[in-house]
Amino acid sequence: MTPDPARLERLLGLVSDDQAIDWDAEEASAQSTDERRALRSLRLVAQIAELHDADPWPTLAPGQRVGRFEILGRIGRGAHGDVYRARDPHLEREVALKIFPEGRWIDPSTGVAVDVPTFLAEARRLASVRHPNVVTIHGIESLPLAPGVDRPALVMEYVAGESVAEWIHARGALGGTEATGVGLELCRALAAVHAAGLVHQDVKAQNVRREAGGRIVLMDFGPGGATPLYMAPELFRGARASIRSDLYAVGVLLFNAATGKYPVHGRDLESLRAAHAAGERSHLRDLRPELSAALVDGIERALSVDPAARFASAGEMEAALAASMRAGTMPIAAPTAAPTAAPLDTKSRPSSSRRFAPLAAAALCAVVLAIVLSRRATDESATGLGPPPVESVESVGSVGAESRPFTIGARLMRGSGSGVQLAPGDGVAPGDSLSVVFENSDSLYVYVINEDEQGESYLLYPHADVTPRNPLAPGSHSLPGRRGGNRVFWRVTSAGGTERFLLVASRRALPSLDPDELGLDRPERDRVVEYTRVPPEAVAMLRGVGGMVETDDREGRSAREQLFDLATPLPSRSETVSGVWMRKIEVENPRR
Amino acid sequence: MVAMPESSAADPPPLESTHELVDRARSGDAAAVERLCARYLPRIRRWARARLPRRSRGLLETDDLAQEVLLRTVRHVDSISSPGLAGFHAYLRRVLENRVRDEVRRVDLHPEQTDLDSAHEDSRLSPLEALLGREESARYESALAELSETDREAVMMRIELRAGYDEIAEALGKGSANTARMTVVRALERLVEKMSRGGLDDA
Repeated sequence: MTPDPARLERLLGLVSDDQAIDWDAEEASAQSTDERRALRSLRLVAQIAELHDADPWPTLAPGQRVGRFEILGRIGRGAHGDVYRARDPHLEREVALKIFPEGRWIDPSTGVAVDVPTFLAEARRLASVRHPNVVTIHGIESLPLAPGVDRPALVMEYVAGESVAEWIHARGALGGTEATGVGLELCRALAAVHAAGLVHQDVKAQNVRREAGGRIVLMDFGPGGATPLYMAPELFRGARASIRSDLYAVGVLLFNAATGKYPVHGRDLESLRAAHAAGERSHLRDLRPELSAALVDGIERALSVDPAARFASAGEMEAALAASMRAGTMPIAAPTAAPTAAPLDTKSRPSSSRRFAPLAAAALCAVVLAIVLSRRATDESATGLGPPPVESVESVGSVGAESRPFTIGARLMRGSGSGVQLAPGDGVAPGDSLSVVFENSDSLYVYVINEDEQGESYLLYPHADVTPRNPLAPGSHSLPGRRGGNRVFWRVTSAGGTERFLLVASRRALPSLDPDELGLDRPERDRVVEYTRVPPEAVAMLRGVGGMVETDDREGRSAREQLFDLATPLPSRSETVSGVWMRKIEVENPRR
Repeated sequence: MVAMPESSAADPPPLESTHELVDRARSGDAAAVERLCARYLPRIRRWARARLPRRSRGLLETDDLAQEVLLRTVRHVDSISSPGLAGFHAYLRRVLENRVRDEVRRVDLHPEQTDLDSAHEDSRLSPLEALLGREESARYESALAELSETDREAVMMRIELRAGYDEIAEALGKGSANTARMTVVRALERLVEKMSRGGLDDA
């Protein structure tokens, strides 16, 4: 039977005119399957129209007040709500606000509707857990986002730092000691959660934060349950989540932290289920043969298929990990910033130049760290405090023993002819052509990085499509250089406030800054700009290496700002230096 | 942002009819190009936000993408084969779809967060997909593609670009807003018919 024409006509008109319709009632009174189908389709169209009406993910702006809270910035965004960093003026402290949609939300990956009130009830129970390794829940409040629009929000402790997932992504797989350290604190967190009669159900690297000082904090009791790659085999067969399935997830997390891979992998839920059923999995020993037997045994035991073969409690697992650490046979972790320690899954990585981003950040950190170290070395020898810590500098991996001085000068130029030299603070505008002229006494590897006020950063040079390539022969070079015989320039493509350029030169290649060295695919012809956002985790990396960097309170300053802080202004004349030369110049691009 | 090697930006005010602007842009009028950009940018931005995977980009970057797509379309405005606004819109949509597809592919390939390591924060989905599900949004897109050019233009302008009936009348060469409304209603009817034929198993 075809849909009732009069009714369809009325609804078509209402949708076209953007009028409200009680869809549930309309669908409930449909007279036939065909009619119901037509109504469902029309309802979809109405929803699509609504989606195009407004910003589908409205954002609270920094400075905006919501209830008594002052928004400082967004720190996370998920299908179930946004997380903001905010200030609570009453208690004069920073908090994290997790703001939920109203009523119910549909989990987009499973299509399952979850009642927000149910989730909030769980959060209330979590609030009873007080432990340094478990995020503190301050309360649950209803926040007025707009007149008449109140949304439930979880008010939590703000944990500065990064998720363990971000940490691993930025620096590569963890060494045994670091992985064990994460495991120990996580077990302590879970012991507290389990003691409160709760099961976490969603332990994963994204839900564990690493504070700048190194504290590990278990976050987020997710609604809707576990994450497939972290799910214990029995959960696939319909078993209920338990203490032992939480510990299995800790095993997956540590396996992932140590290898960048998952013990059981699949392209989708079905293949994952099949892999579990067939007992197909990777073994930690095969991927990290050098790890201590005690640590490998501990992680593998947590990953036992039979729940009874796993640790009985978080405390038992913690004891096993602690014993593995005492066994002391583990190799020391690789230096934090060394990009070579990144055995992440190369199979599943894209051959796109985007993968370059975290490596570039790591390399920048290495460079910065090296510079800080050499400065300290100089300071210390000047004050008679001892010899320069040369070994430490070398261990960073990016600057070398080749410390023979070299002479270098650089100029930022505007214009496509011979160009005009730009001084700090000069203006540039969309459409301008820019270049950098280097004059170097020796063969040097040079790098040019641009960052705009929006926090977007790009590696402008080297680039696979242009010549000359690194290392630049002694002499004078205008970069980016030539492509296919034609001289090319960097073009300012949009307004963006202050444009900052970081210029780096070294006798040795800084491999993680060089796409050729990395064996990356050549970017598409017109995508000459490599997108290399410097992630916030770089800040933690800077701070995290053996306490060797300055420890002033730099909260609130971005990684990018901190990196630029460490470069000195580009002088107008050549200078003679050794090690890594790093200079900056800022010019003004009109704001958007 | 600094890029290599081409293009520049624009952001001025409207006045003329969109039809006129497209025609003038075709004949190389730079001011018309700028005005077209100003007029379309907010719409393209919303359109792109609805379709980009959430993980993919921050809002500022979505703006860059919208701008890039618009500039690319406008730059090729003289090579668009079918005349008038319909051709312009069709071309714009194609460029945008391609660009979004690139972005989706990039996000799908992203190494760290595979399909399965995020149960309830599937940021690979666009808001549109999160709302409808991938299958249903694909059903909508393919039904839209099957429509006649005029129907598609009517649906796209009203539903996606959120244009008023006046503007649709002008774009489609209808005599009045009322006629344009009827065109939209009939186009929606045909769209819904095609979508319903596609399935909705649990109906």
